[in-house]
Amino acid sequence: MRLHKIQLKNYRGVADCTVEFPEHGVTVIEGDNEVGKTCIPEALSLILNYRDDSEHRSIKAIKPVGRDSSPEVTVEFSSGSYRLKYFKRWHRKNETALEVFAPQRQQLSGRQAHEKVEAILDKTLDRNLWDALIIKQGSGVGLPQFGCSTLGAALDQAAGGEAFGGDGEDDLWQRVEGERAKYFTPTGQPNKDRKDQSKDLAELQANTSSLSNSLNQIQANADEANSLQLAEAKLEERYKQASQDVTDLSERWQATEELRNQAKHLKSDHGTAQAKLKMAEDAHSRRQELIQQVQSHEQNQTQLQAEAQRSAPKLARVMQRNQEAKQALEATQTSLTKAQDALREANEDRDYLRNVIEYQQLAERQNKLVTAERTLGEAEALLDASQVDEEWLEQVEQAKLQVVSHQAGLQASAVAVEVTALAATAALLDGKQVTLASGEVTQTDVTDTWDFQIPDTVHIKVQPGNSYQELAAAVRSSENDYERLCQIGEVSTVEQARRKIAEQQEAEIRRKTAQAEIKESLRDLTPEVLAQKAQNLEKRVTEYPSRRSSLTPLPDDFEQAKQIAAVAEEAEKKCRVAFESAQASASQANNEIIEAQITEATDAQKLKLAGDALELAQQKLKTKRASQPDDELQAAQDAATVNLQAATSALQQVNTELQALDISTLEAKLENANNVQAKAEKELQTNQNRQVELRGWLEAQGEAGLHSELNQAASKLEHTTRQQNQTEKRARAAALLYQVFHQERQQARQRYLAPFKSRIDQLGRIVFGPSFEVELNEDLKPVKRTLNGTTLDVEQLSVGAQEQLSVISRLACAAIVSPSGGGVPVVIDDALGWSDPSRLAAMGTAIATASTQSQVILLTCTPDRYSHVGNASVVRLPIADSVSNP
Amino acid sequence: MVKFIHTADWQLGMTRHFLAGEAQARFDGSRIDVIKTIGKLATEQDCSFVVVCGDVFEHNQVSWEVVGRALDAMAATPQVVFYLLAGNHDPLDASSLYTSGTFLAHKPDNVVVLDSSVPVEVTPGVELIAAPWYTKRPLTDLVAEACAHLQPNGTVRIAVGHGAVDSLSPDDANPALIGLGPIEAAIADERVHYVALGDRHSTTNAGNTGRVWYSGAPEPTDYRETDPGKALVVTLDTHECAVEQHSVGTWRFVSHDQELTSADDVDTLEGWLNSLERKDRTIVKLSLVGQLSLSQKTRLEEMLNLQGLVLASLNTWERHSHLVVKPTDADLENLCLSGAAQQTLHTLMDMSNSTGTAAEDAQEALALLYRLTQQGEQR
Repeated sequence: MRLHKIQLKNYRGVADCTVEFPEHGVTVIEGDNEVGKTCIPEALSLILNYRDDSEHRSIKAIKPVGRDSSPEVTVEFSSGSYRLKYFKRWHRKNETALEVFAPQRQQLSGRQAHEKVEAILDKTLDRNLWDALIIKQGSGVGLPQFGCSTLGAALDQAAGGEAFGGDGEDDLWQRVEGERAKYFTPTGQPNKDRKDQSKDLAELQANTSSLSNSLNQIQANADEANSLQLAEAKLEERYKQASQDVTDLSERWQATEELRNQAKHLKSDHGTAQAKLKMAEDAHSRRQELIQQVQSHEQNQTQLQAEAQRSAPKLARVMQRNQEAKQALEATQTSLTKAQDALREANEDRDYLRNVIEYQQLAERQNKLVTAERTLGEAEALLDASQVDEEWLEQVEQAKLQVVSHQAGLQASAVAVEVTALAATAALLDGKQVTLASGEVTQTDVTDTWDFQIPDTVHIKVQPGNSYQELAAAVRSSENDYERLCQIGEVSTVEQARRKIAEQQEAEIRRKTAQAEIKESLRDLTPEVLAQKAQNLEKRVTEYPSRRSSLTPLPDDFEQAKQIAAVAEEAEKKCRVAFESAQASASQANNEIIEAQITEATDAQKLKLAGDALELAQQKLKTKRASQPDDELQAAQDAATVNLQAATSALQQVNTELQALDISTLEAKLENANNVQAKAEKELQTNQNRQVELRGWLEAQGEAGLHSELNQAASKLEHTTRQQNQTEKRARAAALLYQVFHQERQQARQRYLAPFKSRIDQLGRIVFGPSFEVELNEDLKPVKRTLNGTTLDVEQLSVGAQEQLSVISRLACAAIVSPSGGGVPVVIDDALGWSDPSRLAAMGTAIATASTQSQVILLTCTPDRYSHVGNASVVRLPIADSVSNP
Repeated sequence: MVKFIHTADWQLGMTRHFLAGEAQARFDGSRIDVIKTIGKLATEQDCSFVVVCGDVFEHNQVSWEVVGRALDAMAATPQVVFYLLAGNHDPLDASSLYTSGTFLAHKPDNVVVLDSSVPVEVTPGVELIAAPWYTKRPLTDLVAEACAHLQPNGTVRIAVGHGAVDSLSPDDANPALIGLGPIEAAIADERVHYVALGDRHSTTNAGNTGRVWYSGAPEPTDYRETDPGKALVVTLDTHECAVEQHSVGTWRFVSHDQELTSADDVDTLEGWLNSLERKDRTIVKLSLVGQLSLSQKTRLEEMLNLQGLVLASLNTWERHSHLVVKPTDADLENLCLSGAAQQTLHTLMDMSNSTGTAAEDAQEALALLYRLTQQGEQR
């Protein structure tokens, strides 16, 4: 579309205004506020869209107020191959008139004219583009949507005419997306339906598998039951066979038992026969023994009688020897007694004399002890009474020295007063009447106050100085110390003290000496023991002489007594040896005689016993033979022997038979047969129990109709599987189609966007600089701007920059669209108010560059704003209510 | 002369997993209904009894709804006695439903379980010699064992067994195979006069005597069955044996292979699907190979979606299908794409020329692009 001319009459504040536009390039319409600049685009819109009788509020809005006139708009424009002049008046005397100049001249009016224009515009004008390329006053800086077919077609053509599929392609794309959405989520995941289908399928598979397992279990149990049934027959057969074996073996065992009983009896009989034979043999044997005993006793008696005759003379010889031995013993015994007496007396004498010596020694020790104890007691009493020692003595001596020393000092420092009576004088000395002879000299050392007065003549008072007082005090102090120390030792002088210490030392010596003597006297004894010992010895010594009966005198001394005792001891030893020898001879003789007597008695006794035994044995034999003669005993023994042989033979025969039966094997067989039977019975029972269990279970399962259930589940599974396969197949097809189509569209869009982007970049570089680049979205809307390597969202740009980009993108669109004849004017009403002067200048260049092939109409109230648009035609609108032509 | 119905392999309680929702319920219902059909057929044909040769139930653990409905269906014709043999699916093992208290409590009088090989006199002079399965894995030829001690005595004997006969089974190692030789020898010796077998779901005359038959399943259960949906009416005496096949099943399992390389092929496939009768009881499995344009693939999918709503089940056998989608010039013209959308189309086309999952995904993505574009145009 190209605008050629527009005339407004009575339109809002505009009385009459006509503006003509060049076909290409920029037309700047300048005018003050409220002169009707904005009316031009509005009037264009109203004439093209609303009938002359329209009641639309937009039409109502332009009704003049307070004036009897109607708004009129006349516009002359080209669109496609058409060129026409179109007139409308609204409200009063409303009218529409159309004059078509090309392609064919035609004049229409009223509704026909309106419809004709609508038809022409529908055919030739991209209304979306029209809307997109107008920046209305106050509409902000928003970027347009260029999703219009004219731009698309232009871009498509620019891209080679094949890239853009038009609205049909968009519809198809929507259907492809819709088809994909049947199977996928927007992020390409399987959608809920497909997930549910997969879930259903898994559940069905699990259910089918479970049912199948259950059926397999039923079949397994049925098979087991059948096997058990077959096994049961075999088990019954086995049990029967085992029972038969038990019966057979039991019968054989019974027969064996009888044979064994028989053997038992025979064994008993055999034992009895053996016992009887033994008894007969014993009786026979005892009879033989008895006979032998009698014979033996007879021989014994004869032998004993011979022995008694041989031992009679030996006894007389033994008796003689015994008598002689007795006499010798008596003689040696007498000698021994004498020697012993002599020895005892010699020993007693010796002991007595030794006791005397010991007694004397003990008495001496006792005396010494008593004396020493007394001395010790005295010394200790003295020492205990004394409170002083040598240190004390030294202190006393020191104290005495101190007194003497201080006294000497005092003496030396005393005031020596010497009064010499020149004439006899009565005077008062220290208050006492004294009379001084003439020439008498009285000397005194004043230690205290010395008061001398000659009555009525002179009064002299002398007092020693302070040092003297101190010395006197020292003398008193030392004297006190000395006295105190003397009192401690209960002495008056140093000499006494020294004597006292000397006495003490002597007493100490005496004590030690006494102690040593006591120790020496006692040695290892106590005084009591010592006294006791002395007393005992005294008693013995005193008594012995009176007790001694011997006529021989006491030896002279101990040594002599010792010699006498030694001699007596030797004599006694010799007598003892002789006595012991005689004693042994006597004892031996005595023993011989006892032995001879015993032998004689024994022999006699033996002989008697032998006689008695012989008699007894003879009597017994006689009795036995009377009871049972010897030949009867022999006959009984022979009979018993025969009987035993018969019993042995019978027993052997039965035992042989038993051995032949092999009892242990039979017993083992019977036991095994019993075990086999029990085992078979148990297995049979187990088998039958299991069968009952299985059949009960199977019957219960049969009621469940699992096979039908499985079939249904399997059918469902198969259908669902088939459905899922189909679904997945369709899903894959939908996904593939979507993917390929999307890819192709993306590529096409890239090709398709390129010229538009390139044109915006070209214009943008004029304004923003050479690094400018723009990014478009699918709707061809600029969404990002890159400048100096920094990419920002368009919304992040300043208002001015957004406005500039908005104008540039429209200019770019018009520049692309216009050469193909499908363009519309770019109408910019009062824009770029936020641009700085440098940008305004650059924008002027951009607008001029873009408008070489398109129509650009700029409306502004600021004449300088577009002064940099070099090729612009400027139309200055007159002030309101005035009409002017450019 | 005795007349009876020979049937087998009801496998009640069987589930076909490819049947969705109510189709399975209808399938189950039909398999119960066919019991009543057999009962009615027995009445119409003056049959003395019905013998069901094994696999009456799919499993011993089928639900009691299944067992109860089956017993109820048999009780619908009380004059017809149903002799049931346990097969490999429902053996008389410890888990057997035939010995369960609930089964015994609900069993109508006209239902008899053949639980041993002791001859059962069904009418005077006619005996059933049953060879029930006691386990899922028998180790002997049960029919041979059941017939081993029989001697000809003028009684008409019908051996009732279940399992594969050796002449029809490739599994020589199976010890439970039924020996056709011994059976035919027993027939020749007149120890047995007819051998009623189950296990094979296709109706089959085994051997050359005309007296050894598999009745097949009364309702089909699988695509591999060649002649299912029958019950056999057998007329028998010691000298003659006549076997008539009666269709009793109402369902069909159909597998169909088609190469698709053009719009015409898609039309042909649609025509074939349209031609199917009783679509609500027809289970179809398609093996599709070839190469289609985007528009053809879209059309194919739309057509199959519609057919899938009508048929009991319509599935493509993935393992046996390989359908490549290649956009044609016409596709591109139709799409009228430009710009990125057009670039997307070219990229996906390049990807679809590779191999493996990536190519398949790319083809699917192309089809999706086509569909979404068409949606835009329709708006």
